[in-house]
Amino acid sequence: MTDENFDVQGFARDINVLLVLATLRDGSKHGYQIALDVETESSGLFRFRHGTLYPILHRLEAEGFIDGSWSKEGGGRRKKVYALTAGGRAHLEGRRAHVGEVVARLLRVISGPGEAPA
Amino acid sequence: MSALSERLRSIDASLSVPLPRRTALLRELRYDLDALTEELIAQGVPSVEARRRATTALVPDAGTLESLESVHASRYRRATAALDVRRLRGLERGLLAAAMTVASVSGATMLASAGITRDPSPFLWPVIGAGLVLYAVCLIKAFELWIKGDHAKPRRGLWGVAFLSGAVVVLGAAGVLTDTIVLFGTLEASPDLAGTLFMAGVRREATLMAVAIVLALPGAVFWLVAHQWIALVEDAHRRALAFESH
Repeated sequence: MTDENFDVQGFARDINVLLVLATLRDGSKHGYQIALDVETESSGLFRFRHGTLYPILHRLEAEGFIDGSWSKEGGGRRKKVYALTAGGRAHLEGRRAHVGEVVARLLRVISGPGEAPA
Repeated sequence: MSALSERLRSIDASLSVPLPRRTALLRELRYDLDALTEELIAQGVPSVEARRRATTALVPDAGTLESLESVHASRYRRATAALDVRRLRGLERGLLAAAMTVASVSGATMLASAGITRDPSPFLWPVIGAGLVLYAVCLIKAFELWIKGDHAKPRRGLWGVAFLSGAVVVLGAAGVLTDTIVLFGTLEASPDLAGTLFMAGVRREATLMAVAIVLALPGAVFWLVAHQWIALVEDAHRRALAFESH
């Protein structure tokens, strides 16, 4: 991590991206299922509101981190399903270390000198 | 029309995203809204509350619409996003003028080398002028539809292309008719030159009509392609907005 380039708002955006990528690790899902899983797995802490999920999904798709495909359901309804690509998996793994480091430093600051983070 | 349908239609109207992508986006949103509502109802949430919660979670607000526009903007829009609107418009007009100058110069060279501008019908120049206007309109429309991705009113100006294509041919035909009448008048006045004048007249009028058709044909083909493309994407969009669900 380059310390002088660290951007708190960018980090918050990064978290959303990582949440989406992490949810897709288990298999392909459609939009609302991703939102529900993020909420469930974070015990309600992370919640997508006002459609904020879609720009994230579509940007990740454009960047090649996830792959979106359409499939038909009974009744002719069409749904878009997203799957994690190899690039997305690599990105997720790479950013995990970054998040870990940021959180560790944050805890160090919050906990104060000499106190071990909880 | 339900409140949800109205909301989706208003999103459609306010979202400045090129049409095929806007269609996909609305279709995805519609499916997710229905599916999430169903899931919440299955969990025991009353249907009105389930719809409200699904809408709050998934329907984009103004900020999200802006993010979606930036994600789905055409490459051209992304590349020129930093430019001032007036400057960009000036640049676009300059590019159009340059393209038309290149087309005019190369067209004039081709016509001259083929001997078409030697002893031409006086109608040849208006036909070429109308043809150039037709190509400029085609260029602007193609740029709007497939480079800029400006699909707020995709059919705007398209009938102008059809009209101009027809006008080029009609102008050519009117020229042939007028020239023929003039030629017969000349033949009556100078019957001794009939053979020479008649052959020169046939060559001139055949050339005029050929130039008119050659100029109008690409315009007509462009109109057909653009018309069909718009009909296809609009039909898909209408079906997505008709909400083929329960």
